[in-house]
Amino acid sequence: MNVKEIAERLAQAGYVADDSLAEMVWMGLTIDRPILLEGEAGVGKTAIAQASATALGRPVFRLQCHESLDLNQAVYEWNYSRQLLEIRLREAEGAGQNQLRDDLFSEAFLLQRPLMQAITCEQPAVLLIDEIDRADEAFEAYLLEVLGEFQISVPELGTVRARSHPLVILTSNGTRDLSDALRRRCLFHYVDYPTVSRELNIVQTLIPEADVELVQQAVMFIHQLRKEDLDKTPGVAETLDWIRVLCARDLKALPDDPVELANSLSALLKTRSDQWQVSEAAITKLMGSRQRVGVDPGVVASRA
Amino acid sequence: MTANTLTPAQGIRDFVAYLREHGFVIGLAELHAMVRVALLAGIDESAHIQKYWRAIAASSQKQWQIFPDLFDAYWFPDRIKGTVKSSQKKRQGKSLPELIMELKGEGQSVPNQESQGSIGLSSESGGEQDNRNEQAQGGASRVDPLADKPLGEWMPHDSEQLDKLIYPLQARVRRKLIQHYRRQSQATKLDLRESIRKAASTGGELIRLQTKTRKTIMPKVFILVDVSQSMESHANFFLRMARSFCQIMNARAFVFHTTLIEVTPLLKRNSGRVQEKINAVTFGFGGGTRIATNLQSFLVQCQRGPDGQRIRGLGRHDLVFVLSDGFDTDPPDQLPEAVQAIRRTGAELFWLHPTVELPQSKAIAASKADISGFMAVSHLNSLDGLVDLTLKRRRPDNQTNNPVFKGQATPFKESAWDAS
Repeated sequence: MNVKEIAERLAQAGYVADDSLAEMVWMGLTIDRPILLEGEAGVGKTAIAQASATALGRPVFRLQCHESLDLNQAVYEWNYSRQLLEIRLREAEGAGQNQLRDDLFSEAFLLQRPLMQAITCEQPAVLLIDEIDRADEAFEAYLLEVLGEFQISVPELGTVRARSHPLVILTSNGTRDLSDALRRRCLFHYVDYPTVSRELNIVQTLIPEADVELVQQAVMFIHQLRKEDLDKTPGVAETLDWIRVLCARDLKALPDDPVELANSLSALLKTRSDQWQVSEAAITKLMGSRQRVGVDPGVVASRA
Repeated sequence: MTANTLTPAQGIRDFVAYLREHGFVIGLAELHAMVRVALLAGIDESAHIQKYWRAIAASSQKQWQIFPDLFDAYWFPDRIKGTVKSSQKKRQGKSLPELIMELKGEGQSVPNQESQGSIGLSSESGGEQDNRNEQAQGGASRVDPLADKPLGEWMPHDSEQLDKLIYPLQARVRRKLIQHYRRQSQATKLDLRESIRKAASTGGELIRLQTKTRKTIMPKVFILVDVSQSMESHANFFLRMARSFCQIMNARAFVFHTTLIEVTPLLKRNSGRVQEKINAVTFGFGGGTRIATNLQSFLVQCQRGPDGQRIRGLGRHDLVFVLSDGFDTDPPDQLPEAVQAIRRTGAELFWLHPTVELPQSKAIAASKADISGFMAVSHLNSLDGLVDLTLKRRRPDNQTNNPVFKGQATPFKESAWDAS
C-alpha cells in the first residue's frame, strides 16, 4: 500500500489528511514504528487513529492516559474474583491443590487491558495511546518495552510476544515534556492547524449539508481569529462545532450583525478571557477582513 | 577523504552529525531507520525523503519546524543561496538523488565493505569530525558573543539563550512534599482505606494491598520586576527573564513601579507578540518606585488567581525573585517589614540587581539579613549562578544568624560583594 492509497482510504474514512500525515501512516506501517502526534487540542490527532483503523480495516484499541494510570488499567489484571470462585469450587469438588496452583495464574484468569489486547490480537490492530503526556513518567518508562520490542512481561506467565504488530499512535498535547527515550522510539509529527483550503475540504467532507458560502466565510473568520492572541486557539473540532451551530440556525452566510454572531461564538471561545477579548468591536474587525476577502476579484473569479 | 569518495552511508552519517550539531538526538536506530526509508522510498520519492527523515529525526515542535531548512542547507545549498538560514557545515559530496541511487546499488560507485561497516558512530571518523569542528578558521571562536553582551543591547530573539539558563533551575529546584497522598504501586505506606474498598470485589478478602505515597509539587515561583525610571534600560531584559520563568517554571510575574500589576497572562503564551506585549506593559512606567508598598501589595495579590478567585498564596519553600536596583521612595524602615512579612510565610526571597555592586540604598541595607540571597545580573554569564543561589540558600543556623556571613555566602561572583 503506497502513500496515495492510504490518503484515499483515509479520505473515505472521513479524515482529510495532508500528504505528510498520510506519509507518516505509511512509514509507521512500513518500518513498524510508533507514531507520536503532537499538537494543540482539537487539530485531529485522535481522529487519525480512528480513521486509520477504519481505512485499514483493523480493530482499534484505545488507552486514555491520566495521572493515576497504572498497569492494571493499561496492560493486564488478574481476575481475583474469578480466582476466588475457582478456589471455592475446587475446594467443594475436593480437587488437588497442585493443579489449582498452576491453573490460577493462567491466561484464563487474566483480564486483558488495551496494551495487552493490541499485541495479542490475531490480526494487526491500531493501538491509540491518547494524551500520553498526562500519564506519569513511570508509565512512560514501562511503555518503552512495549513500543520498542512489542512484548509484555507478565511475571507469572513470562514474556508475551506480539502475535501481530499493531500500528501504534501516541498523541500528546505537550502539557509536559516526554522523555527522549520515548521520543526516539517514535516517528514524530507535529499536527498544526490546517491551511484554509484543507480546512474548507474538511468541513465540506464532514458537514456536506452546510452552505458553501457559509463554510467559506466561517473558515476565513476562524483563520483570522487564530491570529488573535487567545488562551485557547480554536481547532478543527471547534470549527466543525461552530458550523454545525450555524447550520442548525439555517444560515446561508455569516450574519452581518456582530451581536448575533457573538452569541454563537461560545462554540469557539472556551475561556472567560477569550470571550472577553473577542468583543463586538473585535468581531466587526474580523468580519471586515472577511468582507475584504469576499470582494476580492480573484476570489470572485475563482468562485465563478 | 575527498567529497567525491564519500559513500552513501557516510553521506547520511555526516548529515546526521550535522543534525546533531543542531540539537537533534539521533542514535544508531534512527540512523538505520533513515537508511532503510531511503532504500524503501526509491529514487522517484527522493523529494519526499525530507518528510520521512523529518519524522524520524525530529522529536519536538521546534525541531520539526527547523528540519526542512537544515535539510535544504545540507543537501541543496543552491536553494537557499542569498539567504542567511545556515552558515555552518555544507554538503560534502553527492546530491541526495545520487546518494539514493548508490544506496540501491544503481550508482557508479559501490560502497565497500569498510564503508558499510562505518554506519553509525565510528570513533575514528567521529574524531575527525570533531577535529574539523574545533579547527575554526580565521580566528573564529565558539564563544557566544551574547554571553558578555550588555543587557541593554539585547535583541528579542536572544531570549532563547535565557531559556537555556532557566531550564537547569527548573530541573533541580527542590520539590515540595505536601500532605496529600496519591496511590502508587511501589510505595511503602499502606493505603488501608483503598485496600478495604478493593477487597469488596474479592468477597472481603484483602488480596490486593494498595499503597500510597505523599505527593510532591513544584514550589511556586514569583517574579517581581521593577520597571521604574531607574530601571529603564534593564526592565526589558528583566521582563524577558520573567517570561522565561513563566513559560518554563510556570511562575507568576508582576511588574511594579508606584503600583503592582500581575502580567502573567501576557507573558505566558509564546506568541510572536511578546515584544509588543512587553512594550505595552512597560508603557507609562518610568516614574518613582515604591518597593516596600508593592511588596506588601504583592502579599495580598498573590492570594488572588487570574480570575480574581481566592487561592493559596505564598507558602513554605516558594521562591520570590525581586528584579530591582533597590532604589526606593518609601521610608527605609518599611522595606525590612515587607521583606520579613514575605519570609514569615516560609518563602525565600532573592534579590537580582542589574548593577555589579550590591544595591546601596538604606532600605536594602536594612533588609539584607532577611533576604535569602543577592545576585548581580549584569550580563548573561552572570545568570550561571542562579541555580547555586537558589539551591544553596539553606545554611546551618549558627551561620545564617550572622548577617555578615549571610551576605558573603551567597554563591555568586565575588565582585558583586565588593561593596558589602
